[in-house]
Amino acid sequence: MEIMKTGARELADSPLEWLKGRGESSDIVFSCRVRLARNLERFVFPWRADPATLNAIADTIRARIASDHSIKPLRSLVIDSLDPLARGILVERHLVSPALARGGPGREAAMDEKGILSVMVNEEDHIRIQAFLDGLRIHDAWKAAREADQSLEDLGYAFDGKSGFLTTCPTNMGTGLRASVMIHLPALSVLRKIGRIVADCGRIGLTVRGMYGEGSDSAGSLFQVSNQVTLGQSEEELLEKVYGVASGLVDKERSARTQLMDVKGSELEDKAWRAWGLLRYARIVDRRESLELLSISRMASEMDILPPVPAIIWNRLLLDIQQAHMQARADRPLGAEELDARRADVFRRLFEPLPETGAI
Amino acid sequence: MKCGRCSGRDAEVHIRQQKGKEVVEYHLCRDCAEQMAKDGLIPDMSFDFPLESFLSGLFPGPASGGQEDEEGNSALAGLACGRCGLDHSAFRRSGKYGCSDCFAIFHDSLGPLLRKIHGFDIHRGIRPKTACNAASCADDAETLREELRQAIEKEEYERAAVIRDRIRGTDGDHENRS
Repeated sequence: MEIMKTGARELADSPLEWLKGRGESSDIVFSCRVRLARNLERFVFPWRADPATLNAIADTIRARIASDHSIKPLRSLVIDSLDPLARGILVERHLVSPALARGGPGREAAMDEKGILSVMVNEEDHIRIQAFLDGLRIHDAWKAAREADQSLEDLGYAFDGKSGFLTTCPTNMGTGLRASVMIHLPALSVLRKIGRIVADCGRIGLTVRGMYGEGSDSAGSLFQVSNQVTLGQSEEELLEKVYGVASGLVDKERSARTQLMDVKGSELEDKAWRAWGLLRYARIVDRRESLELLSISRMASEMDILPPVPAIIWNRLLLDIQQAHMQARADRPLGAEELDARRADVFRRLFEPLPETGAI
Repeated sequence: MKCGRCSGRDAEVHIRQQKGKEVVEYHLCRDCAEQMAKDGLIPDMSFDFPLESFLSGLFPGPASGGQEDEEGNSALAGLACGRCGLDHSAFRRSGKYGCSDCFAIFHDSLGPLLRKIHGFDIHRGIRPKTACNAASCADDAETLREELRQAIEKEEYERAAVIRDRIRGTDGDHENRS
């Protein structure tokens, strides 16, 4: 393993396993993530560490990752060596948090070539292991994260027999595990069921938040469901809770789609074809509108109202219409108006050549 | 979209406010949003607020970090971590531990902070293999048995069940390894 200098373009084109969209219920659960927060006993936590200590922490973790051949090869990236655009790409891909992307001494990230695993170094905790997969493969994501975890634990984790893994913030104490799913709930949103879902999830220790915007107003009807508490339950119980609720939501969304078709079928068809028309022909699309268009047309395509489009295309579009990804592909900074025009280009290039059903 | 106030920076904060029958929308950059919140023109959304700003409400004693430790908390005021230097008031202000030693130092002074956050304060998950040698597991089991006794005494049966499960798990680890 070596520390590589990496450009934004290369990062924007690198694979992400979840984009394939082949896992269980991946038409509705786009991706799942398992994150583990860990610290090393022998160093003070990042926010109390001086630059020399932060660098020593990063050296220690990097050396361990490089020497352990039992885990998949990871390449390390020094955040300060990346330009702002490359950092933006990593943030849009959720491989690096916005806080880590700000950089500083010892701020690094290591990731595998498949785009499943990412290890953030010197974020809020010394180590944040994340694994991303498609659909409801949350137990597989746990296995991937745990494999890296077991490799790194020889470094000597900060651990207390009673309270578990010690973390900077008490909200992560215990398992240090946050399991989440990114779930697409357009029919439940239209039927105004999201508020109820948020409240019900809260009662059983799960958090629901909009991926793009807060609460029930989330643009593109994309939500993240994750466990709120990390202590007092085993990893298996936490994973099972998120998995169980997410698969319940998948069922609810499917029946809401059927209900929507029964009650507002022609309205839905009209909206779907209008969205399709905009994707094919519009010249300017802002971010919010793009998320709405993708949401309704993806749902309608999955309901056989619109022509079929593979999940990988829908998933890639979610990334390709984001600011840093568009700028990386353009190889230059783009102003707000250019971004809106370019977003329409991304859609048009893809949708205009697609055949429609019922050809003349 | 540009900020509706300065027209220069990109709008990052979007607020929709109901004023009587009218709905007012603001699209602002962070700087203008913070300024307008300070001026009381829009609700204070505590921009970029750290999580700790509301966690501190869970700590025993006065919530504000400024006037440190009233008489009731005078014993806590002198507490400081010998390793990373974090003192009690800084801990309460930030809501963060500074190192793994802080945890032991501030833990007892916190009262049931972890229980307030998580509902429970006993870890039931996996343990690193380095933390599973026979001696440390035996220590843990002893601590847990004391916790169990206290939980039963206080009639906290749900918590007692959690502790019981942990003891079984710990004993199992111990047996497997000894």
